[in-house]
Amino acid sequence: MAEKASSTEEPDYAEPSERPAVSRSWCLPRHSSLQHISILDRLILSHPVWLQLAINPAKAMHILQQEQPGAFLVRRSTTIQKKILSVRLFSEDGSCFIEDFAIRENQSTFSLEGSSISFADLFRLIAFYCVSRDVLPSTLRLPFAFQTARSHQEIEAISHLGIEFWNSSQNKHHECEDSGCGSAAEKVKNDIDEVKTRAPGTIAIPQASGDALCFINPLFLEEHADETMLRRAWSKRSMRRLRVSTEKTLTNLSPPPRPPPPVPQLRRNLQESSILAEVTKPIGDMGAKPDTVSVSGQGMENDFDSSSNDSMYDTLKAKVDKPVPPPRLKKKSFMSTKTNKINSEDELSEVSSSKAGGCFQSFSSLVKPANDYSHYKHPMNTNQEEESSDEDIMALAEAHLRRTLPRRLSSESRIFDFDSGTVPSIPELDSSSLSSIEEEMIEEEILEATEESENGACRPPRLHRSNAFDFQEKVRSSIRKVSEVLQLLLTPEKRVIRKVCELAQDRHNYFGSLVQDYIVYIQENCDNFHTSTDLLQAVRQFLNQLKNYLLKGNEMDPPIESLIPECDIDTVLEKALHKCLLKPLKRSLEKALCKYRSRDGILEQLRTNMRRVARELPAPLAPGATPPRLPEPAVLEKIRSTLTRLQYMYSPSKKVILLLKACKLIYDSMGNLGHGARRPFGADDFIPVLVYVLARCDMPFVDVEVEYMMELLEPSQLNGEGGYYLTSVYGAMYLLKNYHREEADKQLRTDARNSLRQWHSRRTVGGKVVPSVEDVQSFIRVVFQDGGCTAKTIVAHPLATAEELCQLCADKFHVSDPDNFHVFLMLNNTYQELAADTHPLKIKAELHNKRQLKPADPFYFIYRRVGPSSDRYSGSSIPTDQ
Amino acid sequence: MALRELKVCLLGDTGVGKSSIVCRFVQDSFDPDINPTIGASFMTKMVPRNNEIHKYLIWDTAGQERFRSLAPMYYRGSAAAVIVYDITKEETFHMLKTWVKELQHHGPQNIVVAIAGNKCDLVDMREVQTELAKNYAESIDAIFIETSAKTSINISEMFEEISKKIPCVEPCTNDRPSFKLRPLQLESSSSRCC
Repeated sequence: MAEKASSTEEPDYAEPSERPAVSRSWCLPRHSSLQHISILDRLILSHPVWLQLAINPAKAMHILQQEQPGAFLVRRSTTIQKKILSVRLFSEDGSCFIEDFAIRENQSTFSLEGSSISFADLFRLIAFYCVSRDVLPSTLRLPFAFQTARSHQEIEAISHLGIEFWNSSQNKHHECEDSGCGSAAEKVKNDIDEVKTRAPGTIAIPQASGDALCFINPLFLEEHADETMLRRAWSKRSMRRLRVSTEKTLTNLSPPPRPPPPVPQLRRNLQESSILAEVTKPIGDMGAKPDTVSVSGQGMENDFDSSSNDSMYDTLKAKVDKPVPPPRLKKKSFMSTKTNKINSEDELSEVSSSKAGGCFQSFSSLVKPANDYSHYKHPMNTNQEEESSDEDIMALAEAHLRRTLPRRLSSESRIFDFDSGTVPSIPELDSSSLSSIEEEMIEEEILEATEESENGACRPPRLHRSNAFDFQEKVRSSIRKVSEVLQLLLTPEKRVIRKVCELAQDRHNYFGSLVQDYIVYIQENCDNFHTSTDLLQAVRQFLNQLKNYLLKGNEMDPPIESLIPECDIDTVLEKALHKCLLKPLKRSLEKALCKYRSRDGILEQLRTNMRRVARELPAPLAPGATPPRLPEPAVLEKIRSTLTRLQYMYSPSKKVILLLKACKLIYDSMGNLGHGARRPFGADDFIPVLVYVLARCDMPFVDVEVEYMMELLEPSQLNGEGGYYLTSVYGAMYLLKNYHREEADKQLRTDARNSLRQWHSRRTVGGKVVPSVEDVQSFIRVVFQDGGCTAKTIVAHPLATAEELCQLCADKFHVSDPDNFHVFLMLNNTYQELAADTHPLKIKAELHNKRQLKPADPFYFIYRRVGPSSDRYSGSSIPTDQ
Repeated sequence: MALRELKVCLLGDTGVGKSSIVCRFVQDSFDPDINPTIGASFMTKMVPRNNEIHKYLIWDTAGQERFRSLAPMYYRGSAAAVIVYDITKEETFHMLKTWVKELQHHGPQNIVVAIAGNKCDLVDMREVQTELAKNYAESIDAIFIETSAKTSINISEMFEEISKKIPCVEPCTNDRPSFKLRPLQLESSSSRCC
């Protein structure tokens, strides 16, 4: 990297007199380790400092007042219920000046108000504005301490200060250190400031005329708004590519970033590429000139204005308008880029620099990244004409690159690799096809569930078994392949889900131990509830508590608000919790539900009634003038297979989607009445057909599934279409179950009303009362040591004493002489007997909290015989200072 | 604008035209394709109302005797119930009275009840007099309106009445839009110093 530094400091072009000083002040000490941390990583690691959602405007102003221009904070405005980016601006007369920019969160993306560029998450947004100002008056910059930090540990250590950082000694401003050049730098900044401070509205956005400020990454432009999925998923990759391309051009082709004189087309394009390089350079070395952006932006704009009839530009534009190819990567091409690192890097740089031939084109190429990758690996498959039109520029750029391109390419590109995986904070990447994530997830889930259910009880005969199996194999292998290739694609939503699942798996944190304890608890106790509904309601309650805990607690790092738009947080958490709690519990729950039903004879009853109704019902089905048609056998078969799929899902929301599909099939088969006015089929027509179809399907397990959905779905989801048809199916099953009764009607009313009341109470409980931490603390895992070693999860109220816990344990472990047993706490390999009046659950919570602050040894509660033991000392309380 | 979801439940004998009323209401919108629902028994429609957008989630019920017992599941959590009768069939009006009683005893508290005498285009066949029904509606403090799904009379008016009668849960929501017009200026001017 020393090489690189020197190349920047020895410019081969004339510079304004202030420039060397300025660039020196911007030039950070370059250490190779420093370069390995990308700006995105720095942002993610430093978020406790700049992400201050709770502070008020006055506090934000107070903090930023002391800071250098470009300093920023993200807070949340309670007035407009949005996140706000507060930026310290240049002051023209020594007065401070702070401007706020609202952050828009819609369509699952983040963007600044007034800008048409949107980002998958907040970090990417900030990272982008650290290198490109777009609607901002200047680029953003992290505090100096973070720019210069050389390791993740260092950044994390500073970040620990949180908001205190701003007042701490860590937050020194580099101008102070480098006072010699401070005034000069200030002067330039002011000069620049005059040029660039414009209201966001006055900045032309390329989509209007296509010839202004083309350095905006068109990947995000609204003209591609319909490709939201694509845009989101590719944003990560595009950032990376952007960096790669600029780096290559920067080192070799750096002319002064000033408005160039009219030049031949080819040359001008190259110059613009270097302008681009300037624009994006600070990604690589943080703290570099934030103002270059505005200067070059200005220059570029002029430049474009002066040549509106640019034929090259037209061709470039034409390319931008080309349809986007499907974003699937060929595995082969991707792998080869990895293996022939140097080689393909070379080619990549060729491509990048050729793209940089027109800045619009350079960035627009990001719109079709898949094409680009295949472009240099498989020229045959992709747009030939595009390549040939770029050939000249490419050749020229290549010549430049070849001449000066040293071997360090690969190492450099690693520096700019967001995805290098060196950062612990960035979770591992998931993968999925972009085209039909939802569909694939469902299929995936079916696969998993099918495996699981191989020896599951209470299964109906499976349909098309062998075909399904072949299909599964195919899908599975293709999923595997895709996942190998598309490692880089992961939406923030998936990241959050993965993160939550990781937390839930890890017994070493409070959340994880909570989830795991609960899973064990339910698995052991699912048959001991009064009714199946009680069981499911307990699980739903626990889901609510966990969700609340995740929202309020600080387990999620970075905070979920920075990854997911606020309106989607609930849905995403719900999904994540379904995955980490319901997935492992699904089988036990369904088994238990079946058990409850067969215990009461309901399943048998249901089966008998279904057959009876299937025989009897069609005749008196529709008293109306124009009875709806009943489904044909083929349709019936389809409905049946849709309903069969229900049991392979763990997520109640996905089950509902299947249920809706089945209802749609029924509705479609009812057909439109040809004669007269097309009377719409309302519930009067639909419900009888539904009852009949369910009876004909002869699938009593649907009853289990309906209860599962009904009780585990988020109560707020029960109002929509899914809720309506779920209620209808529930009602239909109810009728079927009670068909034999003489006064079914009367009985039913009371029954229905009772279950109704239950729902109602649950709604109020689930919705209004905020569960406290105490609620989730009522589980404790106790290890029973008596020769062998067994562990069980025990429910106890939060204030239970050790004595009470001993009694519970005696019952649980069937101890014959409970007087000789006691509860111990094992910590640091020592046993401490808990005095009778201590509260084990409180101790557990306390230890958990402590462990959150700093990792400590695991602890266990042990129920064992009181006996002569060398390592035991009778202490009543836990030593608090360890 | 704040979006507010309102669950509306349709009750009434079979054949009185419950689903026709909904279809007329929903499909009279400018864009008939905006409602890609599975069938006419559940439909939604958004209507702007006093700085709020009301999204009606309309739950239809089966009117046949056999399915009447399921009604509680449908009207649970409803903000409003529309009880429909057919002005050309007196027995449907009697049935309406039992629905009202049922709602009064078991329905959600504060549910807004609207009584709709449908098929008012068939004047010649009228069996239920307007005055009679109107007096009854007043006695139970319900909205009363005679409608015709066929000729689209009073359909949207009925829902408008319902919207008016539904209590505003958060009075503060009325203030929001006035804030929202210039949120940035407000914020930034307050954060400027010196």
